[in-house]
Parts: sequence; C-alpha cells; structure tokens
Amino acid sequence: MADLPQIEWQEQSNSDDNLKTKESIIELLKLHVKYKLIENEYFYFIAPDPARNVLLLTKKIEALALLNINTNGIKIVNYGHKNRGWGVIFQEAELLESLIPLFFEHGPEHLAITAIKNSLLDNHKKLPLILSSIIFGGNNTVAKNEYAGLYFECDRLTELL
Amino acid sequence: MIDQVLDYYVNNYSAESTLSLLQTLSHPSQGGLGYKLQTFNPYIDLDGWEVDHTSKTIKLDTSSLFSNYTIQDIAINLKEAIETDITKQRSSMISRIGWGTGKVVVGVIETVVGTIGIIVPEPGTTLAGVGMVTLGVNSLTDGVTQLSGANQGHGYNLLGSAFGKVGSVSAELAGYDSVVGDKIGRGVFMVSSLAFGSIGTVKILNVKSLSAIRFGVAGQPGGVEVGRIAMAYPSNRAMDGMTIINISNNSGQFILRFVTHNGKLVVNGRIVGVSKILKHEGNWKVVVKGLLKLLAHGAKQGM
Repeated sequence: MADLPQIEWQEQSNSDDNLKTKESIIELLKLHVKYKLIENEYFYFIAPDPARNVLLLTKKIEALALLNINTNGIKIVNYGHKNRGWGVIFQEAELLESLIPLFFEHGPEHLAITAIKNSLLDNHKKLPLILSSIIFGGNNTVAKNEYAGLYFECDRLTELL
Repeated sequence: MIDQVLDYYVNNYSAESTLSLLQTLSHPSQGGLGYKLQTFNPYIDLDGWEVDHTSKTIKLDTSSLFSNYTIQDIAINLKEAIETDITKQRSSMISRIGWGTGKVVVGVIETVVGTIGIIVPEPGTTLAGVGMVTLGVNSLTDGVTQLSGANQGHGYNLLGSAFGKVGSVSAELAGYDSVVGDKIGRGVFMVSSLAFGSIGTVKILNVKSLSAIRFGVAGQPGGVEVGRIAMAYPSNRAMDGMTIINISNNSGQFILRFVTHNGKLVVNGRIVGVSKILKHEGNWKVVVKGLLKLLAHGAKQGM
C-alpha cells in the first residue's frame, strides 16, 4: 500500500486537475499492463463495485456518441451474484480517456480499471466468473498474470491488480 | 463559514454539547429537531444569535456593533443559542429519546441513520427512512473495539443463520411483509449493535415498494439493500471486512458509508457535487464534524 502512487480523483477540482489525474491513471495503467502482460493484445474492462444506477451510467456512455466518440466497440458485461455486477469491455485504448472520468464522476465506492488477455474473452460462459474473480477476488478462476489493472476505493488508488 | 463554525464547535466543546447540536440539526422524522443554521447581520442584536422556532432556524450574527465576530465568537453564540433556547425548551424530548447521554457513539449512529431523511434529495422518491428510537449506551471506544473484534476475518453476513437467534429484536415494516421487515430490522439492528453493543428498537418507515428491497449487494451474495440504503456486504478484495452501512443518492453515488478497514471502523462521506468531507476517517470528532456538515448542506437544499 505504501508504495502505491497517491492517485486520487478529486470531486471538487478544475478541468486541468481532472486531466492530470486522468493522465496519471492511464499512464500507470499502461505501465502496469506492460509489466504484467507479455502479449500486447488485450481488452480493457472498467467496472464499478457495487454497480448502482446502471441506467444513468449507460446513458452517459451513450451520450459520448454525440461528441463523435466511437462507442460501438463498448460491450456491457454482467457478472457476479444474480448477474448484478456490471461493467464495460472495450479494446480501444483511446476510449479510456472518455470513460474514466464518467466512471469517477458516477461516484462508486470501488472502481476497477483493468486490462484482460484477449484469450479470456473468447470463453463466453466463463467470462462472468473471470470478471467476478477480478473484481471481488477470492477465487482462482483467472490467473493473476492474465490481467492487470488498478483498483480504487472512494476515488483513491488502493491496489494494483 | 458555517462549516468552520461546526469545526470549531466539535473541536472545542464536550461530546454532550456536540450531541445536542447533532440532535438539533437532525430531521424530525428521525428523532431530531430539524433546525437549520443561517448567518445574518442585523442592525442591532446584542446576543449574537436568534432562534426562530416557527421556521426552525438558528440565526448567527456575523458582526457585532464594533467589529466582525470571529469563528470562535460565532461558535460560542451557537452553543449559547442551543443551550438557552433549544435544550432547555426541549429537555423532556431530548431525555425521552435518549439524546444527550454523553455517549457520543449513540448520537453518531442515530445521526448516521437519521441523516438519511435529510441528505437524500427528492423526498417523494425516498424509499426508506430508518428511525432508531431507543439505544442503550456504550462508548465510542467500546463500540469500535467491539466492531473490530467481531469482524476479525472477513466480516459477517448479517442475514445468515448465525443471526437467526436474534428473536428479541423489535422490527416493523409498515404495511408490508413482516418477514421481510423482520429481516431488514435484524440487519439494521445488527449493524448498530455490532458497532455499539447496544440493544435498540428499530423501525423501518415508508418502504414504498418491495422491489426496492433486495438481498445481495455488489454483485455477490450477502448484504441487504433497501432503496438507497445498503448494508452489511463484504469487501472481499480488500480482505479486511465489510461495509457496515452505505447510503447513496438518486444517481447511485455514495453519500455516507461506514466500512471496516484493517479492523477499524472508518467513514467516507461526500456532499455530492461539492466535496468529499470524510475520507477513510476514524476519528469520532472528524466523523461528527462531517455529519454535521452533511446535515447543514442538506438543510440548505431545502430538505
């Protein structure tokens, strides 16, 4: 914990501060991904935990299209107990810049931003278990060297996944 | 300025005085008196404060005849206003509902739960309010110690079989399934009793739709969710406990959450769109200050 960079999304900050924080998050994510994942082919996965008011978040993501941001590649995924877990998967790294602020502004208690090996995504039946394992921890559905990411609690980086 | 006054008040006055202030600002439906704080600057006001019982407003003068009041001055005036015009007038009520016992923790939990009715916007859509009527007494230290001790390991599923024996809990769900009400009552009761080791009576008010009630929070088993109150769900990834109680707003943003971290009870709170006022905070004085500010801001929003 002590070695983690002190990254925190401030609710009351200007756009410059948000930009710097966002860039820090993306930079750290890419560094961590590069360190853990050998192959250069992976998807990104962003999920709030617990997932609350998914409808509102979905609308915000859809609204990105109005800004000419291509959101066609974003897929909604459900996982966990009674499929109540919720997150988005996408491949385009440039979408991180648009999605990260939305998720932080949504104000979740926890937020996972991870990269996952492509090979895991082909297993549609097992994917919810894999995502559940990444978000909640506690089982061996997925090996730790098959994903890499950041975990925030109350907007503050608390763990490298 | 109000925030600074509240900071000064909690830092410098007794726990009992702090409790009186908490109760004064808490919503009536939660056992509070529902007063709000305002600053004003009258031409002549020798007291430095006024209490308007009709509009339930405590007005604090910001300037005297010769100079502006300092934060300390205003805090002193606030204390005087409460002791002179609130506590004495309302002493019977304060006594009846168990406020002002000098046990900080009782006030904290009552305010935490009672805050729901104030800080959640759009009262028409508020799904649940929880009133805690009679709590036994304990100290903050005892409460936190007990919570820490009870939570070694991975926390509790409060609705699990281990708590099926809590038969003496009085829980009511007005107009709805008594079994569900009982379960929720147990959950809330256990949240409070885990934290504070006290015996309480819990009443669930105004649950408009049973669909708002669900068991299993955060995409995994465990926990219970009623409207915008979620409680008793594990924090598996952190591996250090559970969320005791979480209150969120219409947008799903957390407003106030009590969570265990490394065996300690910490609180996170935010005034949405303004600031985070409690960040993993475990110091009771800081927690109380945060709660007071939540109340003050809720009142400003006309709740």
